[in-house]
Amino acid sequence: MARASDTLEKVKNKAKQSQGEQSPDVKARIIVGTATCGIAAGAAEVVEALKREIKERGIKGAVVSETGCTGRCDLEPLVQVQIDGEPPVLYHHIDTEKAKRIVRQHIQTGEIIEDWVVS
Amino acid sequence: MTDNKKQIMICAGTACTGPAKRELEPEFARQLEKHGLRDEVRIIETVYFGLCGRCPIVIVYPDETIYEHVKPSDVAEIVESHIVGGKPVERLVGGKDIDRSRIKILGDADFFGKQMRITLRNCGIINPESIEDYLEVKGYEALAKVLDTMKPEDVIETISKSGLRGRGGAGYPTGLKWKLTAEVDDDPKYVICNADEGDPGAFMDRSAIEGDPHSILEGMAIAGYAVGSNTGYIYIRAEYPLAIKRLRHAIKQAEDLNLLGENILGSNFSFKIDIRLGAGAFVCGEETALIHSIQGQRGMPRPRPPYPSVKGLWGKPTVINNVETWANVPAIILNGAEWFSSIGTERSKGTKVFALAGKVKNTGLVEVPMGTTLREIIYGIGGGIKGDKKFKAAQTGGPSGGCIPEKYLDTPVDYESLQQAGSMMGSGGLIVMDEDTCMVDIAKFFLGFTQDESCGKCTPCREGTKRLLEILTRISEGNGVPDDLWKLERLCHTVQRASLCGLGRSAPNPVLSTLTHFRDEYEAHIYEKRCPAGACLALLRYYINPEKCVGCTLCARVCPVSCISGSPKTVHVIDQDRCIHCGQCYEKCRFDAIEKR
Repeated sequence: MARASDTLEKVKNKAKQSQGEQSPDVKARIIVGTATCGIAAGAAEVVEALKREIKERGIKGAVVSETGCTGRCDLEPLVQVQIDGEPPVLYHHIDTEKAKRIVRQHIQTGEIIEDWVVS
Repeated sequence: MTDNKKQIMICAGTACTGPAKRELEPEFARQLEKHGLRDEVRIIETVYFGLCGRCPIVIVYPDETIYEHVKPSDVAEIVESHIVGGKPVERLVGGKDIDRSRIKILGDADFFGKQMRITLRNCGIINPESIEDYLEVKGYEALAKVLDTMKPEDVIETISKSGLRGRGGAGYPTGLKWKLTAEVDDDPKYVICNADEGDPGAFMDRSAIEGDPHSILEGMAIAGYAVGSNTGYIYIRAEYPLAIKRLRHAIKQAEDLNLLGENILGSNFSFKIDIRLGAGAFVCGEETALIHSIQGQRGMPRPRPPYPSVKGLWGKPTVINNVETWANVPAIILNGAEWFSSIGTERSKGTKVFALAGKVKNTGLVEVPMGTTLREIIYGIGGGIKGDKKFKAAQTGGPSGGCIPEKYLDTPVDYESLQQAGSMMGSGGLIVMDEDTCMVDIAKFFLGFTQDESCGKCTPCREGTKRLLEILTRISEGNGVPDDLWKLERLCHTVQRASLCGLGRSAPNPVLSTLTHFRDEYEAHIYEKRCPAGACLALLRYYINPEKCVGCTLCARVCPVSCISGSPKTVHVIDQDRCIHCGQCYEKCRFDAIEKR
């Protein structure tokens, strides 16, 4: 019988491939905390606003994804921006307007909005 | 320097806290200064995820070079060769196996630096709706390891040796629980995840499920293999719709990849998991009541023994553990019992998640090694008391726990120490109270909760909590009599001793702990008809200080019941018989002339 770990390895490789096919040239990842605490603070709207802004501006290579709660429930909605070659940046208390500016400024021009960074 | 500004990130996570690491930041600053680059290069201390075991870690951007095991003595070389010369120091470069897009930060060093994440290892890191993300962080590797290399008794041995104890509150050794079920010669057996989190202010389990549902599924499957069960149930309250949705999604994904279901990963082991929804009764967090609820009966406890390990769901042997306990299992299997038992105190191993709430600056979810003191959690991670008020008490364990006063702030968090301080670990609610909180009022609040949630099956709990609440209400309204204190105590002890289940047995804890540590507040309510914290409305009295009152008439104009009299430019007076203690005059007075007593 095949070992379970070998089977798992195959499952993993397949999963990785299908993920790679979906997003070949991703340079920037925007990750929003969408546990109940985040959603209560408006994270679902932030996700929508980020996606809309990226689409409207025709930005390629940026994806929006979701994650759970890191524990800073009082700072939600939290948005992490990861651009290749840059340290990850974590923004707190993001609303739909701020979300649009993150796309316009941080994603498009690479300029971090220092005032909103968790520090 | 080119346009691409260099940045130096230093990981400040707990796992690698050591004297050497604290010197890294100042040493980098010194070395950069030497080369005149202090203003050119940013140094950021943060907490990284997933790089533990390679610490201390330093990452240099923009080329994302990861340096492992950096010593202060290495700093000069990194700055000279890499920052100035552009050539990485090869002998320290590591992390070649790490996918750069996976490097994430948890956040600021103040909040996360003192934490240690085992249960919440993936929360806020992976996408909970993506099984690919979970697989990427060693997901289901523990299950595969168990299926390939361990006999069921080896799994139980590992869990026993790790020292893991139930995170639902009581702290029963998990390995022993599994062993009892494994030893019974009966079929079928069941595995249950207790996700009926009901303490007011507690949300650890909800966040754990919403952030990382697969860890729980994997933990349950491992237990299924260890005790010989093929069926698991997750009992979760219907008020957690997002958690339920993510669990359903996770189960479906795992089944699609044959990580749950028949012949998992080609082995002989089959395990399926189903969800059962609870209607939100607090008592259903008690294991026998929970089992009744799953069976479609009214959620009421029954006397134990027999314990569910031997006679549980449908009368069959059943392992039942809490969400947090399950999430620990895959980590223990992967990293070994010795690793887990090296964390924590002598009798409480591993970490504990707390929902930090109340009058504390940083509220949220924290996970700390057992043995961390309450002071470190509240003042270190929590950032201290909101509005710089005075700390009064910390409430742990929710309605089953107690209030811990300032003198016990250095109590290490473990099952036994908290019990000695008159409280309990409970499931992990931690409510911080400041000087404005009345301890009689708090006891009344929790008793109101338990009295409401008492299932009514046994008399001590049903009647006892009702009478306790009546006495507390009387005291808080200024109608308490001296006899009430010993009556409270006697009744508390009866309810503690004679109730059928944990709900009743622990219900008096909030009263007893406040009576022990804050007796003077009860006495002030009874003898002086006064609430020292100014929280019990019925006892509040507002007075106008004649020396400060200038007769501006503002208070008289805002008073909704017109009980303040006085003409312009003369001292005003409040008619105490008609005052409704609304506090409007107190809020509005511009001369601080109105005092609360």
